Amino acid sequence: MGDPVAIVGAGQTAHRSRRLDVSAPELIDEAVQAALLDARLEPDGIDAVVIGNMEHFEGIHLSDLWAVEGTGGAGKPQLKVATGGTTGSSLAQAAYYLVAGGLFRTVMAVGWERLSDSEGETTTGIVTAFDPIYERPTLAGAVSGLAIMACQYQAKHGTRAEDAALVVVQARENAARNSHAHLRQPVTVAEVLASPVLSTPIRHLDMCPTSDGACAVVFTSRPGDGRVAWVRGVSSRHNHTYIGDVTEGAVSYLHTLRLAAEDAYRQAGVADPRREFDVVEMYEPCTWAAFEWAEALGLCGPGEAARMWAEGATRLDGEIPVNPSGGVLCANPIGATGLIRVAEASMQVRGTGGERQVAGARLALATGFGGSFWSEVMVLGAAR
Amino acid sequence: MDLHDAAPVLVEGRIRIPYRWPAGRAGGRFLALLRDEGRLIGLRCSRCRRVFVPPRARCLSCHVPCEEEIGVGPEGEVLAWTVSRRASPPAVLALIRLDGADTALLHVLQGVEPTAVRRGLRVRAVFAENRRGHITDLDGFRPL
Amino acid sequence: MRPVAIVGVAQTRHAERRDDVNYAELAFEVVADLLARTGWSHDRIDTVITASSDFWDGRTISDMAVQDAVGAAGKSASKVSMDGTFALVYAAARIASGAYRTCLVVAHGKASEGNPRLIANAAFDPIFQRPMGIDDHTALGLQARCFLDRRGLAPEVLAEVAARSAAAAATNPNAHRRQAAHVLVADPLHEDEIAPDSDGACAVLLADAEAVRGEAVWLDGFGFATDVHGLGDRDLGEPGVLPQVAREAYRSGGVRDPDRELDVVEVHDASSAQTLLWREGLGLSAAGGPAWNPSGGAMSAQPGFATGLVRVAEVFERLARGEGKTGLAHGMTGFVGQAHCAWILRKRARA
Repeated sequence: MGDPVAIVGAGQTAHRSRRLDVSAPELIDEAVQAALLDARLEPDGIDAVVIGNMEHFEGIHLSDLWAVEGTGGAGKPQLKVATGGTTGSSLAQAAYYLVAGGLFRTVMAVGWERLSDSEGETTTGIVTAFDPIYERPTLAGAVSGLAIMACQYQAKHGTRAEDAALVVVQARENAARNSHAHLRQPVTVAEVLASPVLSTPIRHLDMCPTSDGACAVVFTSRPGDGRVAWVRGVSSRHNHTYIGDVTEGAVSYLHTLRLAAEDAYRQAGVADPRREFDVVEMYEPCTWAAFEWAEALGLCGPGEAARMWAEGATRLDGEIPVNPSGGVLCANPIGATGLIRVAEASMQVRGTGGERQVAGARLALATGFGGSFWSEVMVLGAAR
Repeated sequence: MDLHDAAPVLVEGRIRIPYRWPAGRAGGRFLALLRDEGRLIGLRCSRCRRVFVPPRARCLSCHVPCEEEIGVGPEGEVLAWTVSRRASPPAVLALIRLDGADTALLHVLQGVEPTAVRRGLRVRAVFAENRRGHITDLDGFRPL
Repeated sequence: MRPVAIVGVAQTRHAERRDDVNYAELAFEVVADLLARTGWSHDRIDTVITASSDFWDGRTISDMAVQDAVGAAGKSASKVSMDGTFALVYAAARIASGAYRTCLVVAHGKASEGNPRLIANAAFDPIFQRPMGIDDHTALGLQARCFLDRRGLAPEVLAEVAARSAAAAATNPNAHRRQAAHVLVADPLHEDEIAPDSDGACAVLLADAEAVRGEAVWLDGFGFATDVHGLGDRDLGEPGVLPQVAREAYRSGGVRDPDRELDVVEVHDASSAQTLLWREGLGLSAAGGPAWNPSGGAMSAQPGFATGLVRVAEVFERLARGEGKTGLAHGMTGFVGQAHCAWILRKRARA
């Protein structure tokens, strides 16, 4: 579709609970400088910027205007794309389309968030996601929608809390090899089960953290020498507004992810995702979601995801490595999170994954999740 | 019941989210010096030599770090002003280019009638007695 | 860029308060109007780009609320958190990429639901500018002062410009009817020299060449850019990045002599000073040339992020009616023009 587009560089900050040492533009600048270095580009080599961030979390309206002090975007075309949890993946998609459509040659996608700015952290900002007349008084935040989904999954497949806990145990093992990750300490199944319940069945350690961080990824239609990650498939699917309308079966089976994945696979010529993908960077906001998402992505059959994790298929040296970066469970700067999945997937394909590199990776999958169960998918490959 | 005839039902609410924003390396340095030493600085771009006030870590046009600290003010000139008539009493907001700076600082003018303000008016910073590391550690600016 | 045409547009009757609808219903209203006018259904629309502000809507992920209204469920959709003219860029890119044939763009703004001055204050960096209590009106005041000083003009000039905008707005059926007083709000600006806070929405339907027969209005060129952020970082009395944006729009749109080739221009002028300043920034002569803000511009209605998209709709309608062949529609994000976007629309047969 349109001009072929490749990722030639990516950079991110060290994601932390609190980055009190930098202003918002300085935080963004860290990721931008790292991406320019990785892409071997000067600031002038970037034709346009797409930036994303959720206004309420920082309490900064029109945050893109201040952000130019970090993106280097003053005097350049700059678009702000903000879609909640999917912001990062939406940024990647927007950058892709701007290049694929021939509007610009080289576009940098920049996602950032500093959740520590709002004292109560995400929950204070995210409560406003829900309709103020019908839903806000009762829905407590991001966790509640996911808990409803997890309950249904558990009821359908008899999955135990111990099974889900394994997802974060593995994620932390992976994060230990990723200096950018926020949560890198190992955790045991027992510790997960002992952590406080947020919203049944989701416990504190089942849930992703809130992080301060930024990420930048460079997309271009004119890559130079060196290994690149070609965008082979791009897709997303949106959903209804009210949680009760998020259609039948959807809350326990993320049909938006299934449909978006099918579309992206078709574009990329992928027929057997389990076998053909070398690595998956999925946006799993909680452990239970990883099972849902794996099934929706066609990596296994219904109810089989727990076994995939238990058998080690998803480990770095397994058949289908999932989240070698540690995933969202180990770092979640909301405006950047989805973009980090794309950045990590691109690093795998370009062979710059360092300690977390999946040997010989040539085809990678990156997903985004957010809003009212929206899904976004990007397929990256070493070959055009 | 015809929905169109009904009086609109309005639901009131308020978003109460407290925030705490890091001033960062450049801004933090400016505010710390203001608080602790009662003086003002800008940062100079090593390439174009522009002095930014408030200071910025990286030049907006050259994209290179601004590392050289330059003392600015405490006097300067008014480049633009407006009067906020909704404030009580009306407040005079101004863009003030401190001596030594290339960009202007947004602040308030005190002790001057709005009609007496002109572009080029020379003013001096008024430092607050108790300073806490905030831009209001400057009470405002008064004509010389 | 691959050719993209505008199939149709719709806008609400903008108002000070639309208490009868929430903003999702406002979006629904304008989309229903657009579908009725064009005879299209949601099935024909491949993808949707919305434009809205979380602060204005009092809701994070504000686009979540309008998904049903814009028919996005089951589709790929996204949101640009800037004026609608910028959302149009993303929409055009999606079609130009070949991945989508048709795209709906919907922008909304309901100023009445929140406190626009408080919201505007939040658009300034929280360290140095926000604590000074600056908002959009006082920022416009600073800019107007710079503008008048730069050109040695008396403030009465602004009143004359405001009167011309009001006269044009009186002919605009969608204008936000208001009684604005000639009282100082933010010197040198009076209330009637500042654009109103409005409730309104606008929808634009885009399609690639396959969907178009005969003459249509095409998006032939565009330019956009973001300026520096700090009010003191540039001369507010100058048009900032607008000349650069205009040059790029003219270059990509094949316009060599704007005064002669443009038949109609619509700009987002948040104050009467901007009515003059943006004209300068677009490289147009002070008098003569194209029809200028025949709708009354933003002075006739300023429904947040829908304001620029309404300019596109106004230009489209005039070209579609045969009142000229080439037009320019301008939008901005940031009250004193921190970011500008300009589109060249042209009525012609398929290339």
